[in-house]
Amino acid sequence: MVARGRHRSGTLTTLQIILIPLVAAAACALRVGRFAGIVAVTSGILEAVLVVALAVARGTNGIPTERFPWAGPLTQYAFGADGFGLVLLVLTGVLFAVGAAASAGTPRPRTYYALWCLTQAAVTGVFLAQDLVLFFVFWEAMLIPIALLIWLWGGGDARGAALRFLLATMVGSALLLTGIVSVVVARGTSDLAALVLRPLPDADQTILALFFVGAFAVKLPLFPLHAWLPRAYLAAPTPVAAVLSGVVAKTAVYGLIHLCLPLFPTGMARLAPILVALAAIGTLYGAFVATRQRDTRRIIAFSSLSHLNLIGLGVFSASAATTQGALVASVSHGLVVCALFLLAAFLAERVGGWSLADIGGVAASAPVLSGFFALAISTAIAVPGTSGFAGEFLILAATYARFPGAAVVATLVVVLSAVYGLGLLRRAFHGPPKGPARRDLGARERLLVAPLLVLALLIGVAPRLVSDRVPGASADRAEVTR
Amino acid sequence: MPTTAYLLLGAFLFALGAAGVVTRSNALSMLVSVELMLNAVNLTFVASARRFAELDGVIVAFFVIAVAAAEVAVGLAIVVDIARRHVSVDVDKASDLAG
Amino acid sequence: MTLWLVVLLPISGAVVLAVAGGRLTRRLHGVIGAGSIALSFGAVLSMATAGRGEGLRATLGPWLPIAGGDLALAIDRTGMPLALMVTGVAALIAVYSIGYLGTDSGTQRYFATLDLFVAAMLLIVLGANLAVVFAGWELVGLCSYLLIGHWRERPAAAAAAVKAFVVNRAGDAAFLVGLFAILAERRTLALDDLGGLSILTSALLLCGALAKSAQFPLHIWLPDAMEGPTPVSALIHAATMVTAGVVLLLRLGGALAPEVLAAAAGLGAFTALGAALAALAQTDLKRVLAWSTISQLGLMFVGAGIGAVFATLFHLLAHAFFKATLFLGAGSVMHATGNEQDLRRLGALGPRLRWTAPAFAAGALGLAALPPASGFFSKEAIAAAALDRPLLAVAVLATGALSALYAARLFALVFVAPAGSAVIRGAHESPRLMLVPLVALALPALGFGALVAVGGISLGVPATEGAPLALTLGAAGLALAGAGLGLLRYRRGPFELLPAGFGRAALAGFGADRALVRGGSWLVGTIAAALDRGVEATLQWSLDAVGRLILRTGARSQRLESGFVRSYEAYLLAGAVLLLAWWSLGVGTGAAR
Repeated sequence: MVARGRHRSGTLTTLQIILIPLVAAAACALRVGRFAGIVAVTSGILEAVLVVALAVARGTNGIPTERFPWAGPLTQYAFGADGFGLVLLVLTGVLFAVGAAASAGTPRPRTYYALWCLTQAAVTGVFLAQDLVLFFVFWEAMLIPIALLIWLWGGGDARGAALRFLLATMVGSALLLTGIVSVVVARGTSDLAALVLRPLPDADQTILALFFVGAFAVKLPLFPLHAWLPRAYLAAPTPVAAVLSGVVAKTAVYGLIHLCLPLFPTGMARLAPILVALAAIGTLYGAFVATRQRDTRRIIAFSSLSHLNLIGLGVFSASAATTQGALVASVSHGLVVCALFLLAAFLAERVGGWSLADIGGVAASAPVLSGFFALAISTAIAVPGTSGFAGEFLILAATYARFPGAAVVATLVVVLSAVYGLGLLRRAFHGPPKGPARRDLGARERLLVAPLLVLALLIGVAPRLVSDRVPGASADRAEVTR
Repeated sequence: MPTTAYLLLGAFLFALGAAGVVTRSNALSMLVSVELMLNAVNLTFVASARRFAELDGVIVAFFVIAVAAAEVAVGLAIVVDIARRHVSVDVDKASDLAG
Repeated sequence: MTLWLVVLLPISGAVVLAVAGGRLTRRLHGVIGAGSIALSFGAVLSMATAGRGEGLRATLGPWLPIAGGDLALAIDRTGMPLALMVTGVAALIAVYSIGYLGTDSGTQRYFATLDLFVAAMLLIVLGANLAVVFAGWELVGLCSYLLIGHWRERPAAAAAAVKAFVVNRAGDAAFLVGLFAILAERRTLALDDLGGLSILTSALLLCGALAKSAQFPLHIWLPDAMEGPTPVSALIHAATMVTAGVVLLLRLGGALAPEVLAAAAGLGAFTALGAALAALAQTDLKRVLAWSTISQLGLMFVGAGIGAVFATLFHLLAHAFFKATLFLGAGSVMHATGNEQDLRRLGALGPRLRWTAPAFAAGALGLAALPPASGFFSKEAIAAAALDRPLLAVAVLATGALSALYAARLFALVFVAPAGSAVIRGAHESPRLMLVPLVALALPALGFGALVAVGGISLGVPATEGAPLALTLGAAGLALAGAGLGLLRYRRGPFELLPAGFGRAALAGFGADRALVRGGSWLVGTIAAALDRGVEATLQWSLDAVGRLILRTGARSQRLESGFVRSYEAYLLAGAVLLLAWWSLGVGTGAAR
């Protein structure tokens, strides 16, 4: 389809969105020198602002797809975004900006920031791609920069963690590629809009859905395919872990919502019971294991696993209401996990380590750090008024209508999250102070975390800012035909 | 003479040559065995040509002779080079490409 | 819009204190904190005097994208009196706190949280749909956690705060599932559309109420919550937050299944009796009051369970007044004796605390339900409503007798009995900031009941007929007997009324706390350990196994690259033979067809 997007200026707006991080990456790699960090931060902020401006200017929920044939039948330039993708693009911009700002002082900054911006570009491409082949290209393109960031700048067993991350994701990618090739061969086109109009026969859908879901399930990660997660989160440098959990995991959510559900409605409906069960179990599993951890990063890692599985529950329940909930919860989780990782890093700097074993009473000398941490934990454990509650409530309430058992099981997470969340606060901040007086949060540190928490509260009080971007309860996507 | 006899002889010589290639460790012996295999193939071609009264087999035999000669030339050059490196023509010792 | 102002005023107080409080003086923290609550009280009062009450609605804006998920307030039949009580009592306690906290460095946190608490409690009382009510429900739980753990450096306080929150969360999980069920059945969470709910849904909602109102078996958090500052205990753990469960039952009213309401009444009666016995055995000043609160809440559950809306509301309000008075009085006692809470070491404070003692006595009279104190009329109302269910009525009356007994014991041990230790030597009366609210609460503790009984104050709910004279005389008699026995026995000092073994069991709350806490931790710990050491380890191992498999396959394949020319030749030959065989055989069979 030779349909160039018609705009007043005549330029391809989606190209602008993709180009921002790409140009930033190139700039960091070349001779920008000390300003690499600022370039990276700016690229994130610009992307977020541009997307928001586009959406507001149009007054629509989304960016219309811009198509341009390129070099043959299976290669075309097809970028666009629906409401879901739009919100995730903004989240990408915000979190990459915050993460870049938090990376100040890393060794070999130019290479680091170049890889950082490349990751941002790849993730942006995933959210914008409206063609299966393009999607796969950007999906794969995400892996290498992240793996390098973990391997070369990480601590602990960075090599092992990066390798396991690559291994697990590559297995998923192999499945994804097989699935994509099958679909393209069956229908002769890789354009997503065209494929959705002509669904495949029911018999094939289940197995193909399984292939696609396999890839996204490893990336999310869905229980029990999460073995790479604790190692990766622990070995990665803090900003990388924040972005890995906050944004990259959401590419899996997006893939499920944007590819699997529209392409294979019957297949996904048939797989739904087992996937929903796994997601519910995973939600509780992450919370249970988190209660046993005494390392702040491990608590955040398993808490993240729990939240991501809850989002997965919303996705696999596949009703419009649960999709809304999944979107709100995705945004909330992104903000919270970034805030938690940053705050945990600030705490670790002050007490000399990530272990909760020998520290205590930090609130006495660092009340602001303690207050921010408490607010972040409150969002994570879904206190009403925070975005965490809005997302969790919407997902669980809507899932109950279709899969009551899974919803009830997953609701138990509210008790367990209180246990590990408040347990963390008690061990680190309450009780008699152990050790010397700790420095409280400085202005720069507050500036990094405060916007995330403010956004979390804002979305908590007005979740419709996010949830209205996707269609509501009257329009259901993959109906479970009973 | 029945063609079968020629074919059998050809097969036997081919098998002999193949066995020689695989068993001998001396590079020159391997080349000789390869020659034997090629000649066995020639015999089969000529016998078939005679049997079906076609000239195609004979023409192919000429090709094979020419290619065999070229191959021996190149092969001997390689053997000389190996001999220079390893001071022996034992093929088993020339395993630099292992791994 | 005035209706939303009632909630927004304390919230803005909280926000101002949270954001800008660091730069303000401690006095200002108290002024902003108490002031915003007082303004809120003023707003409610102005609405009441203007005659606007039941039926008033106000919507602030959309919240959750579900039906009945807006930020909407509505005053139902219980809304006005409860709002007045919550804001009024909270304002007085906030003023008291200014004096109580004195030179405490955490005043910014304290008053911000207090303001947030009041706003959240008002959401429960005035919310127009269950979404807003639940938001307030959880937020009061959060504020309770923050305030119990106000003195953060005390490990006991931090632990008690977490315990309170987790136990409440367990009830909240059930509450949530109940909400999901309502949403699935009725498609809306608006309170005015709720018809008859199923037994399961009602039971789930009841579980939430049990946790918040500290009824058996989810009562275990309340005694430990006494680790918090005493004004917090007065406001949150006597007058307001713990009554939220009762408020929920009252507001849902007939929507709950009758079987579940009967269960609520039964549990309430059981809890009331058990807690009263436990209160009798306590040696800590505040713990007596804590167990007493659990017991009185049980009576309210009985009332709500049998549908006696007027009686329950009456007792809720009366209890708020006299229990808050008792707690504030206890705070005054502790202030005077350097935080002594052990009853065996107190005593003879009557002559020294000339304002606290009579105020405390007023509260104790209310608790003992001696006429004409408020507790008498309200408890009689519940007993009257329960007359057709003899078991419940007996439980109510027995609890009344026990309450009188331990109330008198408490008063006697603190104010009448000879001094138990030297701490009382320096005892002096509290500052005016503490005394004025104390006395201000003692007055309704004495007079509220009588005013309501003669019709001077209307509760907005039609009052039930008076109780039969026999009941009135009986109740009064029991109360007098109990109080008299208590005073006589305990005016000489600590004396164990209960047999030793039973007394020790009662002191420990009959082991419910230990059983539940140990059982709960064991369950969670075992599952978590099994998952962490079992499943997680296995999953990590399998990922590594996949990696090792790939490496091993690579190593084995590497052996093919031996550099051994003869083996390469052998492979070539074998392959060629196989290909030839396959081709000739395949062609052969093909040609044969």
